[in-house]
Amino acid sequence: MTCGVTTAVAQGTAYRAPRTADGKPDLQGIWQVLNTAAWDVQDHSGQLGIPAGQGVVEGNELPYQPAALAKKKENFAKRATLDPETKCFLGGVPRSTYMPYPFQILQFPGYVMIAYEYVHSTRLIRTDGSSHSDTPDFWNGDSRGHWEGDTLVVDVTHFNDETWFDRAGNFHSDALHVVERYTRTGPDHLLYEATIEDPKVFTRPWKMSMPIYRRQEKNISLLEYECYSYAYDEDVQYFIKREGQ
Amino acid sequence: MRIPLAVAGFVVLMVGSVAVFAQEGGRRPATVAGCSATDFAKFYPCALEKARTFSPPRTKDGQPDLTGFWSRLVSTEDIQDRPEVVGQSAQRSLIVDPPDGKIPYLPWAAAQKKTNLDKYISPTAFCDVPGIPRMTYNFGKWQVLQSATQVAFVPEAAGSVTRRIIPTDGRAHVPSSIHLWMGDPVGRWEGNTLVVDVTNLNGRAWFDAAGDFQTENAHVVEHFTLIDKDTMLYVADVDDPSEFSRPWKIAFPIPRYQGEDQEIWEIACHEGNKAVPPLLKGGYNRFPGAKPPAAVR
Repeated sequence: MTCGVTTAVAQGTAYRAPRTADGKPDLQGIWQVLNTAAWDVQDHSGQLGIPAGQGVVEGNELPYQPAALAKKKENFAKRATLDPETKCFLGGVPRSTYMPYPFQILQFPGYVMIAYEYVHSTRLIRTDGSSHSDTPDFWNGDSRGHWEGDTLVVDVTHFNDETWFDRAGNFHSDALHVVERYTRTGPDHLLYEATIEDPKVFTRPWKMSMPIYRRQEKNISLLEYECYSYAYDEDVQYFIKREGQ
Repeated sequence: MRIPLAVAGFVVLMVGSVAVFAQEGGRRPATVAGCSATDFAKFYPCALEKARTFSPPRTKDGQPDLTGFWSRLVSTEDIQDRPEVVGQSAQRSLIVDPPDGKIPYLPWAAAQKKTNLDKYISPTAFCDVPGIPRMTYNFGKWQVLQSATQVAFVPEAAGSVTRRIIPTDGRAHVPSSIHLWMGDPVGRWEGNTLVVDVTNLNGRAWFDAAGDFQTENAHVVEHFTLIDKDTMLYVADVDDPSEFSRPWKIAFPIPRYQGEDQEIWEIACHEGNKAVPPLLKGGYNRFPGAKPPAAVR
């Protein structure tokens, strides 16, 4: 197994998270990963502008169906123009978790909010027992959460087929179903686990996991990365070029 | 039915307000909380009087409870007096001070506003975030969440994707050289009012779609106060000696959202925005910001 982190239980984690005012495990704070999954969720060598990295996928292999594997290879070859991140589009799930920007978790009675610095992307996750309703498709999917012991479990469905998993062209369809698990493993660490299911693209479910680190700077504050607004500043014709793609 | 939600900025800009009023049950009411809902110069003192005697519900932490879903009564087209235009009724100025309801521009800024109308189009047409104070009157429905140390605003509909996280834990502003589209909000509770001090703006946002702009020197102090269980008084004090001859004040009511759909859904603005090439080809450019002349800087 090349996977670096398994479940909190397997690690023998005895840590019990502090509680919020309404008695839930307290996951609040500003967090960020320290890995190379943004470039490629799988094991990969270094290239110009791309640090080498060990993958975050259990067993490293993504179980693509044959046609999907061909599409992944095409995505990789054309990633400079096809990657939705190059167009400043919303990152989707789980990709937003390990993009190279911090994100903030806030908790309110009945809700967990995940606020990403990248384009003000926001997930407001109900934890009051509500189920997926007849919602449209979303870039970030429809998230419904519940608590299992110390773990926040988020079930995410109703995705569109426009987001990727990384800059290497790993992709999914609108049949994507993600189950995320957020577990405090210490005062300054979260374990993030995501189970990925997509019967149109993969032959079986697969799993990724990674630690997430609390930003330690005393003055840390979630700022903003208004990706497309900056892109237009650089070149206002960007829009026309994008439409031409 | 599963349909993609994508909003074209152009459509939002042109028909957003009308659509919002329709969604929320039709015409603008004449009064709200017993005060005028159409004449904001009358609404403001009336609302202040209501606020003096209203005892708001409180959260577990003892703060006035602003949580829930809120809607928009006013249009974002023009914050000054606006005559009736196609598809939209007239709207009185949201500016309650100075008493003439006009933005007290310095001469250079009044000229810049004219340039804006000629050369540029509202930044929200490009899906740029609406900035402050425009965010408060740019969305059809938004949710407020509260904890002991922060208040969050999460909007849906009619505009750019964004959100606000307002810390109320007594922290200081980020360093002044950092400029942000949404500014840096620092909140505090003063009596029954959430006061939000906003600095570090980047001078790119407009107050409305009519070319009314701000510079990166803008300082906005917002006040959110319940005046009955279903109505907030919103007040924004705007100051920028490099652009205005005096501080000025916006005030209007924010009614509680009465729809059944008490849930905020993602609306991706930039991702579905097909309006920009036609805008650019039509000669409408993106507002690059305006620098005050050296004499007033």
